[in-house]
Amino acid sequence: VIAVEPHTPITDLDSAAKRILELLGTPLHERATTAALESEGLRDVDAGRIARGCRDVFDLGREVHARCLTLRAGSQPTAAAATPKPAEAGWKQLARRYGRGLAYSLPMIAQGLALATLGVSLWGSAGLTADEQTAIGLALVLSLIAVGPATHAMTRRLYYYHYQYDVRALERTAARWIACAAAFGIVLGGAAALALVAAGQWSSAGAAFSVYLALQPTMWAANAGLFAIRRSVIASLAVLLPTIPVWYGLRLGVSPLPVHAAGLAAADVLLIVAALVCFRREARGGAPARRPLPRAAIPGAIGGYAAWGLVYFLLIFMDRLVAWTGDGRIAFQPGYEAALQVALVPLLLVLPALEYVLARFGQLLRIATRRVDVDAASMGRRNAIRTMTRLVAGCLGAYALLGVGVWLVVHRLGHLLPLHVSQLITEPDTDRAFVIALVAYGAFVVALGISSAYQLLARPWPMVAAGSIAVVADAVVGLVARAHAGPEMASLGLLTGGIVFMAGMAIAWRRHRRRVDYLWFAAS
Amino acid sequence: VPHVLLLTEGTYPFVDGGVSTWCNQIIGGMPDVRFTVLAVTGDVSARQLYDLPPNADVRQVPLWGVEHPVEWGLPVTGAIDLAKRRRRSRGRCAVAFAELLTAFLTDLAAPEADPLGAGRRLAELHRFFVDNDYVAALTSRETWDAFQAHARTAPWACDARGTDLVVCLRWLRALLMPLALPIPEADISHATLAGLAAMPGVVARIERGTPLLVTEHGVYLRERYLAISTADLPTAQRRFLLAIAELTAAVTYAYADVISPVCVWNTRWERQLGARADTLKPICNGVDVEAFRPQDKPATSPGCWRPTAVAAARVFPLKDIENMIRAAAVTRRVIPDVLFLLYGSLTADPPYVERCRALIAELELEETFVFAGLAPEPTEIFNQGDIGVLSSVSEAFPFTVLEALACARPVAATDVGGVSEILDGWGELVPPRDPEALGAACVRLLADSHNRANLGRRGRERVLSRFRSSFVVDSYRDLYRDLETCAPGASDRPRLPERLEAAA
Repeated sequence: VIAVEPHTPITDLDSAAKRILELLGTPLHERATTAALESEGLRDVDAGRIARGCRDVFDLGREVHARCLTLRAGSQPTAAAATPKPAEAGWKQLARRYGRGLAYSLPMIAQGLALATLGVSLWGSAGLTADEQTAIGLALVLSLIAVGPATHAMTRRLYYYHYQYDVRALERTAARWIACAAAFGIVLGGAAALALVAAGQWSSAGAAFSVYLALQPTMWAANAGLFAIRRSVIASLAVLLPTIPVWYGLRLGVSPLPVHAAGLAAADVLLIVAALVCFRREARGGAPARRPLPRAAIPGAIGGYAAWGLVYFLLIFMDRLVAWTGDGRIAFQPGYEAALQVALVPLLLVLPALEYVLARFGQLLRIATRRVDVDAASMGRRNAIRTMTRLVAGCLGAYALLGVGVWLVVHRLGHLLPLHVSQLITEPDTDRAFVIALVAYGAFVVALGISSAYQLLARPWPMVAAGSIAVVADAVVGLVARAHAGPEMASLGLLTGGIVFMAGMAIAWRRHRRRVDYLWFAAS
Repeated sequence: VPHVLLLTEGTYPFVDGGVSTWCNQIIGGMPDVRFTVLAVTGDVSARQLYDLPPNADVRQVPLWGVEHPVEWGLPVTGAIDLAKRRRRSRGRCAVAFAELLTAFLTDLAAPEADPLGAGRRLAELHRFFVDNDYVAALTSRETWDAFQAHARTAPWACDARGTDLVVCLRWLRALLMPLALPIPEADISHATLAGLAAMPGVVARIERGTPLLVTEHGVYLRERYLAISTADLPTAQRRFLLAIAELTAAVTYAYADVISPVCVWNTRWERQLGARADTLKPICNGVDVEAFRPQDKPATSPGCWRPTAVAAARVFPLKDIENMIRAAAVTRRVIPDVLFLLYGSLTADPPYVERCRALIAELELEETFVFAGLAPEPTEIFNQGDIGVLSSVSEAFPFTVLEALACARPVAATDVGGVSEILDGWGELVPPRDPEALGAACVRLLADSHNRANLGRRGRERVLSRFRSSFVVDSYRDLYRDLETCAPGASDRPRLPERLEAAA
């Protein structure tokens, strides 16, 4: 047992070559052979004994190296066939990735379920007036747009530190961004309240707007942070738990707005505590964090993602802001708001599937990159692109089915929906906006499907460019339509934005897909 | 006051070991010399293990985990300046960089063909990085295309896959980091190895005429041959890493004014690798004989009442700790209550540590072989035992052997590197990877107390007469003085200081 693993004793040139082959496989250089022979205990005095004419180990190394290559060539070694890891079944991978994608929206889904079952969520209930309700909607949208850049940038940094195994930097980054988001929210809400008071427009809707504007950013940032370290279930629990006291408070007849505000504040506190605990646990035992990124390097590192965060939420919500303008109230159009929220449901259910598109595309690219033959590698990359296209088409099909399903539910089973949503949507103008939004979000599915390739390849700027043009188109067309018809016609802007975004992404991808090999390298 | 730029890689002041001990001796022994330590580390999270004396400061250059050189000292005035650099690095500038890179890659394909020219091209790369954007340059489409074009004909890439090219270019982005940052001004550059970390010294030699002194402990390229040859990597990637090690070694040897290895044994390799004989001036390591003094085994020592062999080594493959474990089993057959105490870091190669632990369990040596971790007081560890042990397959002039001898503990060691220059006639030398021989040597030393005491006393005397740390410090002080007198000039030809030329 004590002896080392049996190996060839070195007595002559052949045995020396065999030993080197045992030690190094095919030696890469004659000096590597020399070093290995020395590590076997051979010195200059042994060289002549093993191979005649060798004065020292360097001579011997040359001789042995040449013999190794001869032996190796003679034996024609079969390449050690690495046992491929059994591939995960497609549907399993799809389910796993879908679950991962859905996790980001889990707190929102939990709120939707609470609304459907209890008739109450942190963001609305029958107890609130229509103005308060839509003021909350406006605050939610504005807070998403305001902290969207920060949450996207933070998530990117957290992924980076996670990949670098720098758990303490992970904790530090999350703590800083969440604290900044909380402070920013309070400043934003305070400024809104002051502006409303100064303009003489202070009302219960204004109060709802200010409070939600102040408290929502913390929730978005903490949720994004917990999502990045795969703690979305905890995030959704932290959001769901305060809903129960809100429901109970409303049943007891407490004034609805303070109860909702208190519930939201409690959710914020729970989320902050959950984030602190989860990140602290994650950082336990980690090496000291690296120094923070210097300010000069921050725009380069996260600028693209922050810009995409802004453009992304503007793309989704620009039409509602257009519909809201010119009314003079701190509240959305209730019918339009309801229609657009319901139209978002199929999109929210399909978006997680794009996580699978991204993963599968990456998997196929990785396989293509492993090929030695240039043509085979190129064919592999083309196959990856084709598969991605097919998957995006599949997502669009699934979206179409879900869209038809949602339309049928609104029109045939409207009594199942809370807060009289069905009645609001089935008004003729609103119904038209509802259908237009469903079609527009279909274009979004295609555009975001293509952008999943850019997400994988860490190239946010093409998405920002196409998205920015789409936002402008959305705003311009929406404003024109709104000026000539009702606010519901702002949905035409959404449709235009969706189509422009889809076309922009398609054009960008058409150009970039030829250099996927380079983009894959640059992303790594 | 001379100012020395001390170039280290993976050692001082972030990792303990022989090179760090040596750096500590040199810096601590010359308070009148100002040192700037340019320390290349593996990643950004390296923790400083040594407190630097007032005459030294450190600049860390991590290879991995760096997003941009601006994090580690590249001076920029702000985000706009950085954005301008990025923009500047596109277009024609990217094409120019691709040409520079192609020249560098051509050197890589034949590392020893033109080391002086290769050094000039490295200096050009450095200038480019300081003036432009390092990350943008190394991730541009032009760079990728140039790299792919080179790979089609390069010997190292003959069977490379796309993945290998991606990995290798990514490595290049990390490995060129020492050239991406400004090089501190100094009177002398002193590199502790002929590798990546020496590149700033080479550039300073070319651009400012700063004399370059190289002190190799283990021969860097030889150790890279051993490590890379057995690394669990695809062949193309191993060849690429080896080519980089060969190029950096060749360039360093070509531009070094003086090469002062720590043992004569190293010079055989260095001559083989292209070092000129007239630049070689070995200066053997030494030990602080006041700190390392013979003492009785302390009563609190784990081996106080047992025959004990002590080793000090980081646990990783070149130290062949498995050999020592098997030798412990051999020794236990004759001396059942023997104890092997191994002091040293367990973090260098965790999978290897696990392998060693498994071997200890397999040989049922839990009571015989103990990993004692980092020593709180390194000067006392050899006094805790009766003999010292060394089981390495590769060494230069190991401090642990000197320290054991200074404590009057005889040593059983593998005959590798310059170990025989210390121990031949003063200890037990055995072939490497031979646990039976190492175990038998331990038995001989542990079983015969008279011989052990005699060898121990003679060993201490040998250290006092030949290997004092003060001798080392004095030798380097003289060398610094010689090099300082070497008139700076930016010529390509390395020039020896006159006194050394005369001596040669």
